[in-house]
This record gives sequence, structure tokens and C-alpha cells, in this order.
Amino acid sequence: MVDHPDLSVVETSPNGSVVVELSVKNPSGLWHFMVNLLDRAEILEPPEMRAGLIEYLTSQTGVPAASADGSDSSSNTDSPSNSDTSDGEIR
Amino acid sequence: MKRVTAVERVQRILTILPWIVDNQGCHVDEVCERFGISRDDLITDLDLVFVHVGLHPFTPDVLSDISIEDDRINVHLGDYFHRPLRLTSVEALVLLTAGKARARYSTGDDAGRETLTSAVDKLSTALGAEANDTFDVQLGAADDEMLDTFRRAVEERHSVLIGYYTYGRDELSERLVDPHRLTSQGGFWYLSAFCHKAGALREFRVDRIYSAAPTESTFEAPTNTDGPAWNLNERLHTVEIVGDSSVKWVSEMYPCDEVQELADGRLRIVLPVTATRWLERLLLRLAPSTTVIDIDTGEDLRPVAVEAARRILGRYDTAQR
Repeated sequence: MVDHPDLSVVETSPNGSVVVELSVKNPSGLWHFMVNLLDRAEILEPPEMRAGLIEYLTSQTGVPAASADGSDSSSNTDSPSNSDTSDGEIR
Repeated sequence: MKRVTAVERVQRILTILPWIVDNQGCHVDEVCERFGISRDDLITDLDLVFVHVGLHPFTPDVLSDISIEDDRINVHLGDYFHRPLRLTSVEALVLLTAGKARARYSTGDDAGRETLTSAVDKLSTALGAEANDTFDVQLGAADDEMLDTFRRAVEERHSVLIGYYTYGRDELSERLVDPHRLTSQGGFWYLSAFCHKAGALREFRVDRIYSAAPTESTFEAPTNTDGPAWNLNERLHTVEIVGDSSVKWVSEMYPCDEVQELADGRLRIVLPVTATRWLERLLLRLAPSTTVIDIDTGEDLRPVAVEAARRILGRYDTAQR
């Protein structure tokens, strides 16, 4: 993933997970990019993109997003190293 | 007896033929002795040039003529060999691109690399001082050291232990492979190799190989490395997708068994699926109105997407962070 020409790695943690930044012109493209990574990656910020992906998955499948938080921007500052299962996160 | 590859044979012909042209009337035995080949091989090579080398419209002036009388060889190459090759700018650019690509990705001990680099520089100079700096050739994202490892393994026929991320199953594994061929296609490098774990030929995308360690183990040269190495016969499902025009990309991107436009304008696509994770990704990119079933059992496969969405949304659940 980190070889993608539009991505830049901004953090690398000891467990190998990375935080990357990329510019987004088309949100739909980002949703498709993210679902290809399944649950190995997560959008950290901005909050509207985080909320947008939750909305996309909810509308795609009907899974309720009751417990998913798309608006709490404070969670965006979490270090990826807090999770041993993290492989990559998008900022 | 060592099998001669097509590349080796072309190299042999390109070495011998100019010498014969410069030494018209030379004896077959002299050529064989000088270049260390058998009489049969020499005659076969010359036959190939005689029959296949020429330009459209294949009139006598653009065909090569080779005669062997009393074991004396005379060669007349097409007239176009008697004047300097004049490339159009497009042809020169194509040649420069191909040359740069080959030079960029050949191994350091490649005997022809220095010669090729020199030829590329000359061509670039002929095209203009800035031609060499105007563009670069990138055949895919891959670690140069890893590419060199595989290229040497192909040439020297030794096995490599690789760590591989299998995209379709979303899992990591270690495999011992016998590398057969390294190719670039569609912006990615691929390694065709016999996989000892699968017991069959497989295609590995190089940017998904996270480790590569050469081993002392060697293998016999493959007799046939042509054709796709994907194994779509190990099917988990044969899936039928019916949806509006938004599903068309599926038929354009993946190998399909059937693609059909229905009377109501919707598309019906039947394709093999070999891994659940791959199916999850596919389903999560299809419009909710699309129907997806296992064509053999009639099972509705949409719940597969629901389960995947739950897992992804779990990452966004503040209670879990």
C-alpha cells in the first residue's frame, strides 16, 4: 500500500503499522480503496471522511452504525501503536 | 544436452551472420569451428534467416538471400541493410523507452548491460540533448534488491524462500518457490514460480512479497512457462452478479465465465471466486441493489458483505479504541 504514488508515510510504529496521508479528489474512490484493505486500515482524519466511510458501509450493507463513532475527532489522535492489529491508518 | 532458448539462438544468429556477410564464400566447416556449433545447428539457423527475415511487402529486394553451394556460404541481406536505419521520432522514442526499461532493470552482472547503456546514450544523444532527462521508466513499484534476487534466481535456477501477502485471503504465508519468470504488466511486477506449498505454478505480485531469501536448492529449467498461473479451478463459489451498468467494471477487471446483457438492460455476470476475503472486497464495492448469489447453491452472498462491514466498522467503534 505504501508504494502507492499518492501516499506518503508520516509515521511508522515498531509493530510495522504505518500512518499515511493522501489527497482525495473523489470520496467514492477512497471508500473503494479502504474496503480493499478490509479491517486492516482505518481513516483517522478528517472526521467527515471517517464519517463518510461509516455511512458508505452502512448504506451498502444495512449494518447499523450505532456503536461506530464517525464524529469524535479526539480519537483521531490515537497512536497506531496502541493497537497491535493495526497495519495501516489513513490521515 | 543443454536446451538452447530462443534468446540464445537469436544472439547466436546475430553473432554469426554479420561475420558470414563480411566473409562471403566462407566454408561451412570454418563457420562451425569458429563459432563452436554443429553443422545441423548452423544450417537450421541460416534456414530461419532465409525464410523469416524480411520486410513487407516481402519482395526480393527486402528479403535475405542465403545460398550454400559446395559448402560455401553466400549471404545477401535485404537492401535496407545497405543504408543507415532512419527511425521516425516515434520509433526512436519507443526504442529509447524499451532500452531504458531493459537497462534500468537488468542485473548488475548482466554482460550486455554496459553495451545497452551505451546504445541508449547514443540514441538519446541523437534524439536531442534533453531526451534522456525528459522521461523515466518505472515498470512497477518494487524493491530493486528484491527484483535482483528474483532475476538471479531465474537465471541461476535456485529456489527462494518468500514471505507473501495473499490478497484474496488476506493472509501472510511463507513459501519455497522456484522462480521461472519475472514480468512487468499493468504497472506491477509479477513473479511466475513453482510454489512448493501449492504444488503448482503460481503468479506472485512482487510488491506483495515482504521477504525473499535465496536458498542453495536448485531446480530444473521449466519446459513451459507460458500461460496464466492463476488457478481459478479451486473455486470457493461460482458467483452470479445481476445489477445495473455500475457493475460493468467487474466484467472488465476480472476473469468471467459469462457476461450477458438482460432484456431489462441489467448485466448478468458469472465469475469464479476462490477466496472469501476477495469476495468481501468485491461485494463491498457493488451497489446495494445488486443481487449476488452462489450459482450452484442459490445462496444469497450479500451476508458475506455484511459480516465484512461489521468487522471494518468495529475499528470505528469508540468502545474498542
